[in-house]
Amino acid sequence: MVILVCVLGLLGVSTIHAKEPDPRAGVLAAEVRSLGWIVYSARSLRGDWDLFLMRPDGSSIRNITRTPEFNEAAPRFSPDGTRLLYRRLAKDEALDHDRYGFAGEVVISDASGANPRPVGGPGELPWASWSPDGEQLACLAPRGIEILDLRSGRITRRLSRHGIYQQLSWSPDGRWLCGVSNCFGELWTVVRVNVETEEVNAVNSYQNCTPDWFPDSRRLLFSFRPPSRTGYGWTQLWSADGNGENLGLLYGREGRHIYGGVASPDGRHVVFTSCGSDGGGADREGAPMHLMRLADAPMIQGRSSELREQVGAASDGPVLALPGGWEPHWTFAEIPPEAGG
Amino acid sequence: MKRGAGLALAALAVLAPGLACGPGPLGEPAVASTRPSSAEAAREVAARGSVEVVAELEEIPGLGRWDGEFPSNDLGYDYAYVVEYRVVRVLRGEVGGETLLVAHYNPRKPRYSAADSRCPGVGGTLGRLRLGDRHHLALEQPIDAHYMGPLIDEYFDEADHRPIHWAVWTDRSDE
Repeated sequence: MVILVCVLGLLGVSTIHAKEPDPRAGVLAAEVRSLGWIVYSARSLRGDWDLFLMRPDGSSIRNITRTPEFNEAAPRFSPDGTRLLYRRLAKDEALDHDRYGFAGEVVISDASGANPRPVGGPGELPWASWSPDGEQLACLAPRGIEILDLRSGRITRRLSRHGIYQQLSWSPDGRWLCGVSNCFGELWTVVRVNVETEEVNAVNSYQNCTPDWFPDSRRLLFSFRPPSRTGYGWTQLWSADGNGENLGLLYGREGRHIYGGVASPDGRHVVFTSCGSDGGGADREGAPMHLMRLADAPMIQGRSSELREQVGAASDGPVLALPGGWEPHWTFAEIPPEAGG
Repeated sequence: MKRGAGLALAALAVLAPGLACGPGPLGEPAVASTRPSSAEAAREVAARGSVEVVAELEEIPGLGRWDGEFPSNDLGYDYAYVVEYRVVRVLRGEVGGETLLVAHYNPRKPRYSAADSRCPGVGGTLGRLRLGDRHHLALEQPIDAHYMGPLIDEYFDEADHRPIHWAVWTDRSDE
């Protein structure tokens, strides 16, 4: 392990946390190894945040930005997997788990990280999210949700924001937007907005964030910290239908805060970060990432006595341990190797 | 949701009147937190916002959820809180009735130290929000045009859907 870390350090790659000794994890790793690529932010050995690609089993890690003068964060593949959208910050600009979508400038690059091109200026295009055809971005502004045409650079439409203030995401089928909102009298409510009618509904209220879509655009996954008898409580990964029905736990573990959940493009697996302190690790080195099968949900690990009492029957694994990182995203598209690699 | 303390506070050389409260560049140094002089306060409250009123703080709903105090700002948790005022006198602009809903940003903080990178344009001489006190307020509305962040609004369900005003400047009033 020490030799491996040293070799990877020379290559400027993110650190790897020791895999959990669960033999089922090996089966899971083999199952996902060839299923495209996961992109994520992580600290380089120089201390700045770069973007990394890896196979879903944690192999073939490579740094695709290598920019000591910048921090790069919150990467999202375009729906066809050929491009990346991310935020590029000055090196001394801190990452914040709740406000990263406002930070730095939006950059669009090839999925390999090549040819980065800034779009807009610092602080502009907050919470930019790809349209299904990759030709537009939905962004948050105080005046409303703005739809930007990438070719013309013009705002082509403005929708009511319905109190959404962070983590905006456009559904794969283009019919919906979701985000974290003040709507319905409760802050930290995940809401869904109909793009055509602008009608809004709550998906889940009270202490939710980082919502994202399943590929069927009918369900969402999000982080949720339910009320706890014992005090602050622990953030878990949950899912619900877009209309708020069928709310259910995906993964929880008392002692860990679960954030950044993203589904695989076929909706069969999910990747998330698992952090010992609240905040997702944006102020440190990110947090260990994990991968699980959605067929194994609900999953509860650790003692987690209060959660087990609340949820009832749950599986205990397997979970595949992945490198430390932050806000991952997954594509099944093949990404060309580095030039010369 | 509470977060790890990764925020750096913003600094502004000039607090522009009516500046929208939303995303600001992170990593800027903190704003000054000394109470403005009376003369400066008089200038600011008369110039900022589109509405200027003297009003009495009549209700701070829902504090029982947080043991009688506004929620803390630990771990960089920012929010605005909606309270109700009874209008005493309208000095500028129009208000729709005898009462007003007003959102204050991070109400645990004195107004003169509440501004930060998320909301650089709020200020005032008021130290603490207390029921029964009268305040001289400069306001903007609708709130969505001026603030994009967590909001605690216990009036959400009310049938008449009164608009929420955004408190840009708040001073104590002796009126």
